[in-house]
Amino acid sequence: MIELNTLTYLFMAVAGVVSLIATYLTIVENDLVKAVIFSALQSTVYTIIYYLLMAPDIALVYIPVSVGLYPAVILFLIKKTERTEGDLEGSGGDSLIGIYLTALAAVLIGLITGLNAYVFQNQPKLDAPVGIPAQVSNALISGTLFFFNLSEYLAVASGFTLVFMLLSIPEEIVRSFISGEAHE
Amino acid sequence: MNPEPYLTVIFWAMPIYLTAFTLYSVRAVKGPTIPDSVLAIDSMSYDLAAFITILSILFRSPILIAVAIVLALWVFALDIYVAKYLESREMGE
Amino acid sequence: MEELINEVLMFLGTLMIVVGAIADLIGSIGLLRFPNFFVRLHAATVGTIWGAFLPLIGAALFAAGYVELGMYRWFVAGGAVVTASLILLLGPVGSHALARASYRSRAAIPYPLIHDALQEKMREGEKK
Repeated sequence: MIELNTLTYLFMAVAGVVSLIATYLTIVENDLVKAVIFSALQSTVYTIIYYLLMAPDIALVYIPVSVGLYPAVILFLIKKTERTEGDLEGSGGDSLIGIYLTALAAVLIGLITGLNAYVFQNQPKLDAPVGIPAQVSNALISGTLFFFNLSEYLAVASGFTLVFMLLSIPEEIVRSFISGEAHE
Repeated sequence: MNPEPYLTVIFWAMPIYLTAFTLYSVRAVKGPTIPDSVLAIDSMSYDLAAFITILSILFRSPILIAVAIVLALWVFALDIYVAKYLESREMGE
Repeated sequence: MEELINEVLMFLGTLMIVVGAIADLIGSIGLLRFPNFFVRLHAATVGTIWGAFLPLIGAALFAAGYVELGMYRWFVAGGAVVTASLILLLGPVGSHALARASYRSRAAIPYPLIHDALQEKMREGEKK
């Protein structure tokens, strides 16, 4: 007889695979409205993962932001600028480099000192004695969580600043700037 | 009386909800037009709301039921946003 | 007497949940196999009402009769009834708005088409 734990892990596995496919399609898609809908699909799958990990308060906050408000703002922005993305690469921001470095920090320390270490490792474990300290002279930084939070704050803040700047310019000026007719 | 046989029957009905969730997500990923994807997300979220409520009975933790109410409401709001965006460009793409 | 009422409530709740599971499976298979968007709306209706409204009412009845949850079983029953009434009211409104917008903006085309009565009425309205 399978028990309740097996059903929970099975559902988390299926949800993880579906969310991975949805995330890949969000990045690759050229039609921006479809990309927003795939992002909403990924957020819906993430709420069931948060629920199964017994965190209902995180799910309660994640649903209005990712399914309710974020597609509304981006759809309003798409109505103002352009519908399909060209062949230009997105700039992405340099704070993603901060996230990469923080994830690989324990591995780099392990490679240099010759110890065993894992990717995304935060605190020392039994067989991997590499870790990032939880406190620095009475200030709580909780290992890698501080750096992850800082990098994500910078990335999201720069993204939303760009969105609100674009939303405050009248539509004709933005369209003529994108199609290359007007110049400064 | 004894709730054990009823809990077993409900527990064996859970994988059917999981199969329905997977088939809805296949249509959400594959749908050739935008309203197809939004309709699949809509149906999938209402199905998830029912699944969440039944799980909160099986886990014996009554605080978990607030997620279902919020999920049903905000997915309806997503429907309305996409409908407003599509209709403001009538006779267009 | 009270044990009999609890037993009847649990039996009805389980029956509704099992019917809801089967109807969800039928709705999702229909959403995969129908040819265009406007026919898929019929399959989504089966999935929303028989597949989400009925199991929620069943879960409310089951929780009202499941005595081992203690005092909080009334919270679960109340929340389930609220969610069920919200889905009953909001599901058809959302699908109707989406269908109207996608017909008028031609985002979805009714391709294997035999007769379109709405197109004639729209042309008559435009000529006047």
